Amino acid sequence: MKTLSSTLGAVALSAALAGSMQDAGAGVSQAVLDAGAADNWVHTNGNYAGQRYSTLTQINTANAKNLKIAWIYSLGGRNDAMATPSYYDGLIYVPQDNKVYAIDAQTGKGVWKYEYKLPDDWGGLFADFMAGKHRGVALHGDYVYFLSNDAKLHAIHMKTGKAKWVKSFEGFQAPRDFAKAKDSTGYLCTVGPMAIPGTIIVPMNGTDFGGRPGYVLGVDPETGNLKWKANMIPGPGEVGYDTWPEGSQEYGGAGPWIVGSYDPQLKMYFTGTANAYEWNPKHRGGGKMDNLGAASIVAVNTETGKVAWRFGAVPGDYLDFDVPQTPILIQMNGKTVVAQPNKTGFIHYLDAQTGKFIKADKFADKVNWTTGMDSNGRPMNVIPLPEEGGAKVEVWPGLLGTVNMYPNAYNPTTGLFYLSASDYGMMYGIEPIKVVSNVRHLGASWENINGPEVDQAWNPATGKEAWRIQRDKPGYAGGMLTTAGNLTIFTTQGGLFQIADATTGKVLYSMELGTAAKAGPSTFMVNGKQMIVQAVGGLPGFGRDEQYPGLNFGSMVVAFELQ
Amino acid sequence: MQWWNRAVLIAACVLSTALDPVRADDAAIPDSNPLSGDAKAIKEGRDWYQNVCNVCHGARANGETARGGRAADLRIFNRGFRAYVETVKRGRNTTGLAFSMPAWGGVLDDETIYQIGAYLETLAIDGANWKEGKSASQ
Repeated sequence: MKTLSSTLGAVALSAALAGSMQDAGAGVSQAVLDAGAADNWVHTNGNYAGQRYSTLTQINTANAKNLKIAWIYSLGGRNDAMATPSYYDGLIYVPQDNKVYAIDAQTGKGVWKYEYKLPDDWGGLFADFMAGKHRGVALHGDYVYFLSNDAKLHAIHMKTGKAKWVKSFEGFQAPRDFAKAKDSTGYLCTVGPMAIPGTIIVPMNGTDFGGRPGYVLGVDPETGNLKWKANMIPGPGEVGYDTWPEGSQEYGGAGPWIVGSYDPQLKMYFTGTANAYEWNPKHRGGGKMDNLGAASIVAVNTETGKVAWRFGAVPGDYLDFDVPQTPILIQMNGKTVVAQPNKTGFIHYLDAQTGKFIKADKFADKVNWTTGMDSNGRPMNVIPLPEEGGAKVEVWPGLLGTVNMYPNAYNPTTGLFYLSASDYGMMYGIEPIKVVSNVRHLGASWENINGPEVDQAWNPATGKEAWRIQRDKPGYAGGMLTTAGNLTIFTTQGGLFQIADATTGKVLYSMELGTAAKAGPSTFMVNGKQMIVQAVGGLPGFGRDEQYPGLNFGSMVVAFELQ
Repeated sequence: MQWWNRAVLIAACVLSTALDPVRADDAAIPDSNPLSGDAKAIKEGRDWYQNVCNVCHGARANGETARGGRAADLRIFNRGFRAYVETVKRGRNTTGLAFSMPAWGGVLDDETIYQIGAYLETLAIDGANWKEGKSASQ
C-alpha cells in the first residue's frame, strides 16, 4: 500500500474547497451521494432507493431516434460483463475480472487500470463460474471501493488508480482450491459495495460455495476498519432463531448477493438474501422449518449494524427460490415501501419501516409453485418437496427466476417498474448430498424448460402489466435504466440495445451490439452532453446458447450520445 | 531412535500423506470399467454426477453448461475407459477457453470415478466408446 504525498496534497486541497461530508469533504461528497442519478451516476443502482432512475431529460422521446455510438472501449474480459458503469467528474469506472478500469467519458480512452490477482490457492467448487464477475463499484470521497471475488475491499484513488488499502475481513475467507484444500468453503463476492455518507456497505456472500452464512458489513471509508457486521441468519435472541435446527446456521447460506438500497430517513439498508444451504432441505428442517433470513428481505440499521427486520419470502425454500434481488424503495399511499420483484414470479411489497407484508403482485405469466400469498405474505399450497433421488417435477418459474440478477428499474414519473424478465420453467429434482473438500453439495439438479425473454413494464398501483416487449428467444435483458426523459433503456440477452418510450413501450432506437448482455446501462452528463453507457459481453449460458447461433463472446463498454 | 525422533518421523509421514492427494498409478487403471452395469454403482455414480459434474456437463450430460460455451458432451465420449479416468483425475487445460476442467484426482477416489463412469455409460449414444483402453495422451 503506497501513500502518495501528491495524493494527500490533492485530498487536502479538495477537502478545503469542497463538500460537507463529516469525515471527508472531497470528491464524492454527501451532497453527491444524496443527489441520486443526474449529472453523475455514483451508485450502481443510480440512487439510494435502487431505482436506476435518472432525472436527466436531454435525451428524450422526441430525439432518442437520433442517438449514435460515441465510442467503444474493449475490456478484454474472460467472463461476462455484469457491471453497471459508475461515473463521476469525467471518469467512468467499470470492474471486470478483478480489475477496475477508469475510462475518459469524453474520448473513451483508458486512463488507468487497477489490477488485482486472486490468491494462488483460489478455487472453490464453482468458483470458475463466478471469477471475474462484478456488478459495480461504490464511490465515496476520492475513492473507488471495489470488492474483489475473494471478499477483499479495495480503496482505489479515483484519479491515480492506486490502492490506499486492501482489506480482508476476519472470518470471511475466500474459497480455496477444492482439489487441494481440505476445506474449500468460503465467500465469493460478485456484487459491489454501496456508499452511504460515512460508511461503505459491503455484502458478503458465501452461499453455494460451502454454505457460509451471509453478512452485510459496514466499513469505515477512511481506514477500511469494520464498523459493524449484520448477520442475515438470526442469532440467539433474534426473531426466527428457532426456525433453524440447532447447528444448521453454520452452513446456512443466505448470502446478500446484490447491491441493496438505502433509506436515509429510516437509516436502513435493504437487501434480498440467497437460499438456505443445501438446496436439499434435509439438514435444515426438511422444508417444514422456515429458515428465516434465507430467501428473505432483510433490513439493517446502518447506525448500529443490527438487523431491524427480516421477511421470509419463501419459508423453508427447497426450490432454490431465493430472493437476492434489489428491494427497490417506492412511495405508495404516502408511505415508503420496499418493492422487490424476485425469482418467485411475484413482486413483494413491504412496509419499509416494519417489514410488514402489504401485498404481492404475480407478474410472471405462469406460476405453479404456489397458489398465492396469504394476508401475511406466506405462500399457500407450495408444490410438495420432490423425493430424494426420485423423479423430477415441473416447476414454474424455473430456479433462475422470472427475474434474476439483471437489475430492474422504477420510474417515479411514469409510476412503472421495468423488469428484465423471462417466463420459463424447469424440471427439478432433489438428490442425495455429496461433500467435497468440506463443501456440502447442492443436493439438487435441474433442467430448463426454455421460455421467452420478456422486457416488461409493471404498474405497482394497479397490480397490472403496463406493456411488454416479448422476444422469441430465451434469457433476460442485461438490466434496466429509466429516465425522466420518459425513456427505458436496456440491451436484450441477444445483444440488441434498445430505447423504448417508458410509458408505451414503443421502441425509439435500436443498435445491435453483437454479444450477450448481462448488465444494465447508466447515464450521466459529460461536458453538457448526456451519455448512455452499456457494458456488454458474455454468453447466454444455462443451456440457451444453442438458441443464439452466431452470438459469440465479447467484452466491451459502448457509449451513446445524440448526433 | 530417540522416542521424540520417532514421533517427529511418524508425524512427518502422517502429514505428508494428508497433504499429498492419493493418486492411483495410471498403469493400474483397467482397460474397461469393472463397475459397468452394476446397479448400485450406477445409482451412486448418478448421485455424484448430479452433484459435481452437472454444472459444467449438464443435467443430461450433453455439455450444456450453466456458464455458457460448451463442456464435453459425455454421451458421445469415445476415448475409452482409461482416458476417462485420466481426464477426470488430471483435469484439462483447454487453450482458448476461459474455463478448464478441474483435476478431481485429489478429491474423488477411484471407486467414485468408476461409479460415475458406470452411470455415464448408461447415457451413451451412437459413437460412444467406453471399452478400449487407449491412453488420453495418444
